Order: sequence, then C-alpha cells, then structure tokens
Amino acid sequence: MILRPQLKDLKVVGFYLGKMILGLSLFMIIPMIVSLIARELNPLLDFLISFLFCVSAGLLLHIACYTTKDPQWSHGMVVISLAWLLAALLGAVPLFLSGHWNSFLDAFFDAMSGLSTTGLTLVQDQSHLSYGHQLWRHLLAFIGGQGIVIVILAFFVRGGSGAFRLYIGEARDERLLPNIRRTAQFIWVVSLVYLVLGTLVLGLAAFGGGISFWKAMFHGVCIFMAAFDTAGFAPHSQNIMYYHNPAFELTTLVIMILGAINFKLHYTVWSGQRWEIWRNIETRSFVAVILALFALVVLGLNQTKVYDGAVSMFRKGFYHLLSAQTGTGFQVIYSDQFVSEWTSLSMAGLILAMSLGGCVCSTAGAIKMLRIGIIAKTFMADVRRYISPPSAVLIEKLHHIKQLILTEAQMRSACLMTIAYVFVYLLGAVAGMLCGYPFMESLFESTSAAGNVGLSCGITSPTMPAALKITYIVLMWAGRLEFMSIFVLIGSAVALMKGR
Amino acid sequence: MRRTLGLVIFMAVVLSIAGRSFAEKQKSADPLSPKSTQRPVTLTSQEIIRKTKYWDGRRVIFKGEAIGDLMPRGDYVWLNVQDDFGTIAIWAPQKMVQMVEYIGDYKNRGDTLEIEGQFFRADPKKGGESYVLAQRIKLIDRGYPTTHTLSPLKIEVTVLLLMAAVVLGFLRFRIKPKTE
Amino acid sequence: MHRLKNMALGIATEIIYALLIIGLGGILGSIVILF
Repeated sequence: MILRPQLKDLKVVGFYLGKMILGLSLFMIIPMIVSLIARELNPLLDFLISFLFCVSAGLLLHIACYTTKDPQWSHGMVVISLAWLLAALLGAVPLFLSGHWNSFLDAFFDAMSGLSTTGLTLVQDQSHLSYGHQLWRHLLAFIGGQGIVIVILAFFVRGGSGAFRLYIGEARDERLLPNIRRTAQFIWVVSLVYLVLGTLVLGLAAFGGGISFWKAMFHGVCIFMAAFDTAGFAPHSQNIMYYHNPAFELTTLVIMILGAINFKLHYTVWSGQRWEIWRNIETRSFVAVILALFALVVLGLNQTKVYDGAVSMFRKGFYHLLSAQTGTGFQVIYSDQFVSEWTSLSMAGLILAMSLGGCVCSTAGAIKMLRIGIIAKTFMADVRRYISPPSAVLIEKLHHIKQLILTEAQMRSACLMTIAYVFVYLLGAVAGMLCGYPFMESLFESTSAAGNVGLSCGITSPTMPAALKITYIVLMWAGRLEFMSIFVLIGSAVALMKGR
Repeated sequence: MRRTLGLVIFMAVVLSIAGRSFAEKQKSADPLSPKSTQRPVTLTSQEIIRKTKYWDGRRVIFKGEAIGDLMPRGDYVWLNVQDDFGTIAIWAPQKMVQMVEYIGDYKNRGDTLEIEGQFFRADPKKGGESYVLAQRIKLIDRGYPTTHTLSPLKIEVTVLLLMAAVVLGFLRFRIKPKTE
Repeated sequence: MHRLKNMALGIATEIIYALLIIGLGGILGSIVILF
C-alpha cells in the first residue's frame, strides 16, 4: 500500500526548497559585483533580475510552507532531487538573459552541466561573453561541486538528523564530523583554502604566459573552480587549448586530482594522518586504474602515431586520460579530433576512464573508485574461496580511512550501483544512436554526460536535437545524484497520484 | 613505491613491444607528406579542424576575428582567431601582430585578420599543439568598441521584482514570530 | 598553530600524491615512445 504524501509533507519539501533558493540567490551577488567593477551594465541587470526572482521565490516558499518539522528520509531525497532541478532552472535565468544561448533549454542545459560539474556546453560566441556571465558559469560548477545541500546545511539549517538526511540524499555517504553542519563547513574550508592557493598559482602561470595580470587572475579563479570541482568549463571555446601553456596545464592536472579526492580523506590527511593517502583503497585504485588505462590509450595512439614524441603524448594523451578519470573534462584538442585522429582503442580507454571516475564524496562523478576497489576485492575474495579448503573461514578486509571488513551488503551495493551506471551509459548511447549518431561517439558522449565528465567528441552542440539535449540533462542530473533521490522523487509523484 | 615503479617499467616494456608491432603495420597506410610549397587554400576553421590530418603541413589562408589575448612568448606571439565555426591558434612573429589594435571580448569587436601560413596538426616541437605558423598577416577590418544599450524592459522587470521581494520580505518577518 | 601545521603538511602530501601520479604517467609514456 502506497501512502499519499500529506500537506505537511509537501510543506517540509517546500520549506527546504525555499531555503535552497535563498542560498542560491546569495551567490548571484558575486557576479553582480564583478559586473559592477567591470562596468557591464546589462549583465548587472541580468543578475539583479535573477537575484530578485530567486529571493521572491524563496521567500514565497518560506512563507507558504513554513514548518518546524524535521525532514524524514523521503523528504530529504525529494528535496534534493527537486533542489537540483530548481537550481538549474533558476541558474539558467541570467545565462538566458545574456543572449548567448539560443533558447532557455540551452541555458538550462549549461546550468545543469555546471551544477552537476559536467562541463558540456551550448554557449554561443563565448569570447564576447561578459565577465559576470563567465564567472557565473564557473560559480555554478563551484556550488554544484560542493553540493547545493552543503550550502543550505552550512548556513541555513541547524544540525540534526533532518540535516543528515538531506546530506545523504545528495549522494554523499561519508560523515566527516559528528555534526553535519560542521562537516558542511569543513568541505567549504577545504575548497576555499585550495581556491586561494590554486587561483594564485594558475593566475601566475597565465600571467607568465602573456596574459595581463588581473585578467590572468580572473582566468585563474575560473579555471580553478572548473578544475577543483572537476567541471571542465573554461572562459574560451578552445578550453585549455586557449592558453598554449604547459605550466598552466600541469597546474590544472594537479588541481583536477585534488578535486577528485574524497573530502573525508582531505579531512584525515589535514588532521595529521598523512600516511592515509598511500594506504587508502581509493587512492591506490585510482593510481592502478590510471596507469592501466593510460597503457590502453598509448597503445591506441601509437597504432597510427597520432602524437610524435613523449611530450606530445603526455600533453595530449595523458592529459585527456586524467581529465576523463577525474571527471573534469578539460580538453587540449578539438572535439572533432577525438573522432578523426584518435583510434577506437584510445577512445575506448577514455570511455572506460570516464565511466569509472574519481573518489566517493569528492567533486567527481561516475561509478567511483571505492566501488571499483570493492568489486576488485570481491573478485579476489571469490577466487580465494574457490582455491581454499571448504572449511576455511575467509575474511576480506579493505582500508578506507580505517580497516574495514568487507561485508556482503557493501559488495552488493557496489555491484548494483555499477550496473545502474553502466545501464544509464548504454541508455544514453541508444538515445544518441536514435538521433543518428554512430555508436562509439554516442557512447562517448553519453558516458561523459552521465559520468559528469564533460569531454565531447562533437555531438554536444547548439544544433543537437532537443530530445538529446533533454536526455543529457536527465543523465547529468541522475549521474550527479546517483539515481536514488530521483527514484524516490518518481515514487513520491506516483504516491501523490495513486496513494491512499 | 618500488613495486609500483617496477610495475610501471614492466608495463612500459610490454607495451612498447606490442605497440611497435601495431605501429609498423600502420606505417604504410598513413602517407602524410608536407605540402608547404603548394599554393595556399582559403579555409574556414571547420574545414581545417575536420580534416587536420589532410591539412597537416599544408599552407592555408584563414580569416577571422582576433579574440581573447595576445600572448607574447619571446619573439613570437600566440593569438587565437575565430570565425563563425570555431577558433584557430596562430603562432606569429611579434612584428607581424604589431598592427593588431582591437582584441575581441565583451566590450570590443576584434580586428578581422587574414592569416596565411603553414598548418601543424600536432607539432612535436610545441608539445603536440595544433596551430597555423603565420607567414603573412593582413588586416581586413579594424575592430571597434561595441555598444550595449540598457534594455528598458529589463529595468521595468527589475523594479517590479524589487517591489515583490520587499513585500515578501516584510511578510516573512511579520508572519514568522506569530506562527512560532 | 598545530592545526595549521597539520593542514599545511596535509596540503603538501596531497600535492606530492598528485605529482607522483603525473610523474608515473610521464615515465610510462616516455618509455613507450623511446621504443
């Protein structure tokens, strides 16, 4: 028997959505200030309109749905899935008002791409976009990478079990600190400390590459947000290729890896347990997977001698592999070159890297290293079981912050989530093929969207069919939230219509 | 650490042997010959990007707007030039770009330039970069500052939303103490 | 002070980890190309 949600349940959902919208509106003040300094009056108006609209909507929800009830698990999941949709819709408003997106759907696509830290883009004439709008695109990635809920938890919600349910709904199951609000604040501390360091280094690298100082700092802050939050946006359509700067590329590589590290691991390492980074199952799996897949990519690129020389192989081959594995999506070649120059084997290496992803509770997406590590351990445990005497009692352990015994529940969860992701990648590929694109390219783009990576082989463009744009929006949304919140949302909608 | 390094070296050796046998089979199927002495062809960015292997080493003419930044590197400069389809990187001697006055951004339309030069698909001397090595740059159209007029509709909407936000803000702070 | 020191050393450790991955990738690629 499905119970129909009551008015009080809808009020809880509405109340927390209102808080999220108010939180989002505060972020719009930042590009407003930048547009004011740069004397960009039309963009300033665009953000003012969006800010006031968000404030009005947030206040309206707050007034209409005022409640002191704590959210339950189902509320948390529904709030999160709707919060992401709403945030993308509202985040798209200033983009659409700029006139650089053909339609609201295109602007919504970019906003969802930013928030989900994917990085696929449909922007037009990007080189003439204002500083304010450029910054907003990257800020969306920064907010999304941290988690919209983290915004609410850090500033608007008192800690407690209700807050915890919101936190988990956003596909973060690592509890860093006993108090969820403090966990949220710690995540922001890590991001802000690296923001300052990363912006400085990137800005200086860009300045050394010939860009004027303040412009270099602006590029530094934008590229940092895109790199650390593994989003992949860049201020120019050529992406990282625009800079022609090896030092800049090297810095982005470091920041991408930092962004793909579990926030719980950041906390552990920053607390003094520095050796944890070498013992953790995720960091070890990450190294093993990167090297194995680079082997595939190099073999593939060597088949037709695409790149001549170790430096070229590193700057183009390894760069894209790391960009794919961390889920960032920075590119140093044209999208068409993946199809025209890279062989199927090297593209397969990239697709695998995109499908596997970074660490859990990081800014990266896709299946994630903890699950890969668990599946690998499960496989080895099964092999040991077969070769051991029947009476032997075997316990498989893994090291993730502390020594843990591998349980059946963990193995099952890892396998189920992996199957879900693979299914979604293939579903997206089918959608691409239905729109007339070849299999390899469709799979590449679909994996990039659902894995929240952002590498493109050319399918993503303003002329893409609207049905495919909507498909990729759903894939990005579902991939970011790891499906569960969305299933609960659909279930709640069904219950609302059919429940008793 | 030693184990990881040993594993890396072992994998590299295995791959090189395997990779070599793959590459040798493909060599004869890929006859790229430099065409730097042929007459240059006028192309769009899309035409270059879609057939980078074909245009590699050939002389091309590309026309577009200078955008972003002029990035000096010693005696040469990196410049990015875009047309309606995409952007191509240009590597040119400093002297050749001295006449460039406007670079395209939010406030300016950049100079329209015609660049004649040799296209490189993935130049190993430049870490695999794709670019046109400029041999001649001609100014086609001078750029200009762009004007952005304030939209009256946007101003009206802003005022309306401001009023709505003020009213709702007032209601929020009035209602909350009563219901609590 | 102790917390700041741990934080600084933690950041350094993470950057070293990142550079190690990059370095290993560079070694692998270089060796393959040499052959």
